[in-house]
Amino acid sequence: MKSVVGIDLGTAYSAVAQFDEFGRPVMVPDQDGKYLLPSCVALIHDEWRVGFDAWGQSAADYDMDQKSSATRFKREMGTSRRYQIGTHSLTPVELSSYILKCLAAYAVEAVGPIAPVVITVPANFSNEARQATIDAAETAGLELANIINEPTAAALYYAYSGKLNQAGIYAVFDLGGGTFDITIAEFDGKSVDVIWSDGIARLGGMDFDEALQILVKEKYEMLTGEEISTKSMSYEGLDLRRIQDLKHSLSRREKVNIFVRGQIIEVTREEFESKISNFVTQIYLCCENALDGAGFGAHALDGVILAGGSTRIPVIQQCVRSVYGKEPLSIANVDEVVALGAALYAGHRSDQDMLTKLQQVSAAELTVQDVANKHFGTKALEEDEYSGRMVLTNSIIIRKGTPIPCSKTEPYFTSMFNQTQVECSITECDHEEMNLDSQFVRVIGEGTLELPPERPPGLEIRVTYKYDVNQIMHCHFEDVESGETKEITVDLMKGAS
Amino acid sequence: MSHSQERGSLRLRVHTMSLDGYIVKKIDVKGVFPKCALYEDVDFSVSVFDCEDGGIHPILSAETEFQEPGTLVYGSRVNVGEVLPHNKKLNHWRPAAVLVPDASLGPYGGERELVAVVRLINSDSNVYVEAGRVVEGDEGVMWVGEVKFKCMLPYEGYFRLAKERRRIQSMIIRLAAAVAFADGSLNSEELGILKRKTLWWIRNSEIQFDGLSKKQRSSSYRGMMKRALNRAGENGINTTRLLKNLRNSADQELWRETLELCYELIAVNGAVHASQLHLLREISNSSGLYPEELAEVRDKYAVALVTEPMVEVPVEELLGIDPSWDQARTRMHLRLEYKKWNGRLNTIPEGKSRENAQRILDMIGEAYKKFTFPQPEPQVADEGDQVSRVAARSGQSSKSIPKDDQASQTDYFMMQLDLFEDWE
Repeated sequence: MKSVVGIDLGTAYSAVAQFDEFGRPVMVPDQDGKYLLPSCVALIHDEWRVGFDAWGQSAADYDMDQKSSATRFKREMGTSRRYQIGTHSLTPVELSSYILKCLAAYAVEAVGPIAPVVITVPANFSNEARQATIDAAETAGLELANIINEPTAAALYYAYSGKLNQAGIYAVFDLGGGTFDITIAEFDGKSVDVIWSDGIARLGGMDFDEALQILVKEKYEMLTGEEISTKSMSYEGLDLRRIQDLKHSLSRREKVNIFVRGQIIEVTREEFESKISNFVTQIYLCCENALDGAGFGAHALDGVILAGGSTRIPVIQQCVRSVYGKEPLSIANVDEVVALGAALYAGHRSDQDMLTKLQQVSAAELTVQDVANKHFGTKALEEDEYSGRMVLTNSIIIRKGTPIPCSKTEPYFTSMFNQTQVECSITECDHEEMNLDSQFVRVIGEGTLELPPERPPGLEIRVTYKYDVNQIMHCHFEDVESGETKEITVDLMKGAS
Repeated sequence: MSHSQERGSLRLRVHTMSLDGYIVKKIDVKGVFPKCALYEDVDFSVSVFDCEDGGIHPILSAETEFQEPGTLVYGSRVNVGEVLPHNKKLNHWRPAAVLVPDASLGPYGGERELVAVVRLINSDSNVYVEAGRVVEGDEGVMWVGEVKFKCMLPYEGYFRLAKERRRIQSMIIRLAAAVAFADGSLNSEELGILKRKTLWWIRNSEIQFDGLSKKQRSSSYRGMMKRALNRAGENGINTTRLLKNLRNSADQELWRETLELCYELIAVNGAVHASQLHLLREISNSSGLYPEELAEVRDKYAVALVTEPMVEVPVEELLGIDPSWDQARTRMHLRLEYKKWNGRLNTIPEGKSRENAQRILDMIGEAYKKFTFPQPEPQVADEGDQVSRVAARSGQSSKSIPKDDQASQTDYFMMQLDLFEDWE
């Protein structure tokens, strides 16, 4: 029987967990017994190295022009960015596939052959980035069972663990190395109903590292009057690994000393917090907006649970208190909850025949309902409320935050005499956009519904969107009078068909 | 067979009647169809002109069903059916078209003498009428007749409207030139935008029947732009007065057009100057557009406005914060802006625009911090402009915009203008 595993493919660290034969999620260690693998790839002596070996190299050549390593590539998933490592030019997908391959190898070594895997992605990941994650799994030679949003995975683990004192509505505050996600969900026993998910695609611990690195550089320069080139910070002892250690120390102590070119530089927590205050403000704003999206105030929450290593930073915990007026619950290892949740979800989605009896019982207890993470609509003529003119707008049919699976039907009408066609477009946007500006609204599927000629305007075209649990959108355009129909199916992971 | 039998003997009349409470002019036909129409499916196609001043100016219609395809020009086409031996003669007056004066616009308003041109055309042929003239398929025209009639057109003529439009456009181009010059210089990209806009007006003016010849039109717009650039280059445009005049003349659509033009001018540089944004705020405030509309226009160009290196402009201007708002309203505005731009980040195409959208988020964070936890900020004076820097992410530095010698710049672009011979 193959083992069921889930992978947390993180920006800074990645991890793999197993849904064991007793139906419990457990972390899978590497050969050294470590659970977290730095998401770094390096070419050392013509050999590709992943994880800790690569991390040392990556910290050293981070600010150099000629690199032999790559890190933070998860942030570029779904973009055309390429990383030059020695003479090799690699895409974020290829680099991510190295990480996945490495984690899968650990899993195979620890638990034997593995079943199709579940991989986590940030809730705020774009469709391209999600597709890139699927491609990375394929490149790594892994069979993918599904992907799951990171905070949903964390929520699932918290629900499973029984560590929450009571059923209720909780915020899952997930701040990792590269991204921030906030999910509001209702917990009841081992069931999780997501109400709203939001996030910031490019904000995480790595930004804090860079800010701290600049702070130390500035303090050194102010103290000595000597300049440190941004190109040689690693060489001068300000490599990101050392800076990360400094950051971790500042989470425990009010001030820390660091040696730079023989000088002792004192860095206080207050200075660090001031340096990252813009990021913290953005997290604050995102949390407030998530509450708006969910449709209730902070007082309605029963608690806030944490995920991601950056939630250990005191000012971040202060931010949580400030937004929600509640002490965040520290009831699990924040570095591991996402991988553990992914393993649970892998078990939950597995074919029952693949599971042991105990696994079946455990998986059956879990339920998880996610929400549409975008607005989906169609192009339609609508009266502009200001000018009174008919203008082509983005008419939203399924709103962001609608529990999935879902189905919605809206009536539209032909606008002209002898209209023989209806352009059927499926649009998506993250923000509620009326204007069809192509920068803000994306057309993800198109087709044409042919209509009989010589008919008056005002005839109903019934449009039905069905969003299923596998992230497939079935769009049905029907001319009610003639019965003519047009079907467009959009796999939200892969595009229209 | 007599000559009259070959050509038929159709007669025309215009009959005034009341229809649904409106006075309408009914153009009727009576008589014998020409012989060539026998056994053919035929239509009556009608165009109406005002020829009183010696020119031939088409009448425009506000009703789409009485418009030529693709233009505003009045055009009516009615199918008669197949002409057979037993119905080759119209014994009674039969309507070929109706004209609703209340929904029509001529070159001049008031009591006018109009001419209706009625064509009998083969339904199966591809006769194409544009601006009242047959431009294609004239072999399908079997008979043409015309009839004069008096008609009271209630609205000002389109010649006068065109003149008024040019007056407003002249104000808009002066305003846009003032915006372009507000940073002390005009570059070729800005000039290109102004030229593109003017060419677009020229094309539209032609379509909308302004009564000018091609040469007159070109000369008029060219002069308009030259004067605007000269005055702006000499810093001689009184924007306050201009905005006051524009407020009395322009409708919402024109205000929107003005704002879009100004935003486009600012965005094209990839660098924004505080004085340009101040002027833009003045225009926005004068426009009377709804805040949502203003935000829509601003958003359209925002990703091009916020560029690296961070420009020396008050962040509030870029984020649409009204200085008169209290702190709570400003914070609410910033929250909503953050929500909007954070959502858009995933949709905006990869590249410069997305990077700039990220900068907008950083700016919002900085502004929110400022309005939530106000602290005295160091202020850097730069030629009278208040400066606020956003440096949330590393590697950002402020950079001043060089101010070129204004006089020589203007001369240079005047020379460039002379190269625009393609206007004619």
